[in-house]
Amino acid sequence: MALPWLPAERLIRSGAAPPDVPLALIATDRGRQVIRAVNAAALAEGIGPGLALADARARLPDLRALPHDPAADATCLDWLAQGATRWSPMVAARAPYGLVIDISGAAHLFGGEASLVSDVVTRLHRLGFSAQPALAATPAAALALARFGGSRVSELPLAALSDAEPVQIGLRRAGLRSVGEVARLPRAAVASRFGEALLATLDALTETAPEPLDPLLPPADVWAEQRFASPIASHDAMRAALERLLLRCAAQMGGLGVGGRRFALALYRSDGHVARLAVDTAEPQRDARAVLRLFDERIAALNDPLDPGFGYDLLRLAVPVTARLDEAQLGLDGGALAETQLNELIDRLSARLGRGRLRRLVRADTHIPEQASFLGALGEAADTAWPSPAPGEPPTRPLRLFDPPQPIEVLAEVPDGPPRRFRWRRQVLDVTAQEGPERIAAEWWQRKDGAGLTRDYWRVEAADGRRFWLFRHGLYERETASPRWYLHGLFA
Amino acid sequence: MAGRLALDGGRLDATLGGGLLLGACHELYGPAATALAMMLVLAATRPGPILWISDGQGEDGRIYGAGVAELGGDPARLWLVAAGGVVPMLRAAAEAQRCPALAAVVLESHGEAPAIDLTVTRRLQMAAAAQGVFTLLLRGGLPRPSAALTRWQAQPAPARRLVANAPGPPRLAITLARQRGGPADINQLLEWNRDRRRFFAAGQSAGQPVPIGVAFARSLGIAGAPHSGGGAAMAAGRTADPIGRSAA
Repeated sequence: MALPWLPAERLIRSGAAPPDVPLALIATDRGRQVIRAVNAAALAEGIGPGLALADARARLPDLRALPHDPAADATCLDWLAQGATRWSPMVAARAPYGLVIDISGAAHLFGGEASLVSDVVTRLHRLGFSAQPALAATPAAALALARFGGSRVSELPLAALSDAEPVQIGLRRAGLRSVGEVARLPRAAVASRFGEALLATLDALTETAPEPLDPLLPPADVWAEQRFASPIASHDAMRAALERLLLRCAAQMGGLGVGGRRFALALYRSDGHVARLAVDTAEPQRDARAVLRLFDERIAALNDPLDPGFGYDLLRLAVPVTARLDEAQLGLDGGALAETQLNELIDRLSARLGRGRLRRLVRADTHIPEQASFLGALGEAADTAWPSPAPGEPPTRPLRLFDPPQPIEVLAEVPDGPPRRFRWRRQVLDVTAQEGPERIAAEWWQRKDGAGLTRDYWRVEAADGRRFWLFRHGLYERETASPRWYLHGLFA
Repeated sequence: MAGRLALDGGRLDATLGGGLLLGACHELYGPAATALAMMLVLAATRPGPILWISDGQGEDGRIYGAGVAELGGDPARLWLVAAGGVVPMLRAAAEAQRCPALAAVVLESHGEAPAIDLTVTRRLQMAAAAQGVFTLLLRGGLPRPSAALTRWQAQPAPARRLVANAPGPPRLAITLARQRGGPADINQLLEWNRDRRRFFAAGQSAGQPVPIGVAFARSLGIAGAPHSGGGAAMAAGRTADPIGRSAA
């Protein structure tokens, strides 16, 4: 599928340019404004890519010119490719303006190749894009035929082999006129004269070495789809269709002895838009109802709700990630049941809130307090065990930690003695009991400057019974003349 | 299905009808609410993870793993959910309360949170009762109307002094401010024993729990105490008699 007018048609579709008026898309090249793409109306006037804008204006004074935006064109092509996955899961976008759809095994769903092609052209035309279709055995051949016309690879012009002008001239000087004539030459001679690259292109065009398609979506072994003659727009109808697809995928997975770890749903709107939703599970899963509930969570948590517009006419469910799931694992007893329930809970909460919002406390092997406990992802194996405190001792670490520590003003009897009174949150608190100091040195071996102040931690109780974790930053006279105090945590 | 958790082995447990009902939703207010919640969950000794759902970042720092371990808990059991708002927190709690494999569900709200109203708390209480999931609701601001089974005020209290004037094990002054269908307005000073993972009424030697017989006798001792009128209307058809329940 070639989309020769894509840049111009994209702008016309977005309303930036009127249709049926000669239009050129320009870019500045070494101080000159050069035309990069045109529409059909401009080409009919003899204006094509490569011409300077000044020359073109000389021929056609009312030529409309807009800046060329290759990035936006690539995005548009990707968007079209997404929509094209409705015809086959194997779709690839080929820069600059080509779409490749692998229709092997898919054509019969549309009543044959011819009606599939006409469906593609009609739908693209409805979106405002004129497509030149071609069918061939390899992606490169199909693209070349779509671009240059014709029906046989051997009749393609030399331009299909190389965009480089010197190569084309060289081939012409050798008396060659078409791809077929080049293909009949001895391979070694072609390679030594025109380079390996030309040979590779030739092989891709003929069936000698078809290049692999790099599909937009990774192919899934397990998938199911449902088409609707009249588009569905209601949530209930969509949910019912999704349930049927889940049941079909579950049956396929049962046959393979696997369960899905990821379920990807694509909703194709009749106007070409595609909405994609995916849920992940902690354990392989093939219970259609459980997965349906995950999708419910996912849909309920969407920031911009699904907009069916004029309705969806195709739903496809794929299970791109699977893992072994034996029947034995489905028979559950005590411990396994609790495990399953917890995994399902994790799945539902992460579908609703996002996996990053579920955390657990992980211990790091450092004695810097604020780095010793951090948040890790739920479901990862525990690494470092937490030390068990000495029996009979009161807690020496606070239940809540301030990170960063909060600066406070402290009154101490002697500069390196225990705190007597401190001010925190505009409140003056008298210390009635304290324990300390617990000296925690900076990890000087981790620091480039080798410095870092020692902290003297105190566990203190205020007159109202609240217990705090304070530290003096820096040893008096040895490290600093006026050590600062910080409040680092709250005890129970 | 769900048991009861003994707190002081005495007057407070008797008032609660034999301890804090685990299959219910309890509201905790006050500066020591986090500590009380953590201790209650650890004392409940139910297997499984503790789901701690927070509606956002409070001004009192984050929960510190080493501190959880110092209270006798395994920080790895604590699953922290940052719901990012009151409504997502309530939705997550509704999911969690359907999962009986959890040891407890703790909801940590900050500020007034008027969205947590009578209807919401009734839903939390009913779900907790249906699945037997121990549910604690940490609240800020002033007490609001609620359908939770009990409401508590928790303040830190001065601890015992150890050698060299060091503060001893954590003590909390807790008040049973409200109990649906039961007496309330009871104060108790509790001391947390980390090694045994339970509370003792402060003043008793922490190493020696109150013998059951004594606790029961004490519960008889206050059996005639007048009930607070607050929950009387809701108590219709239910016994609020502490003897009847602790003897059953």
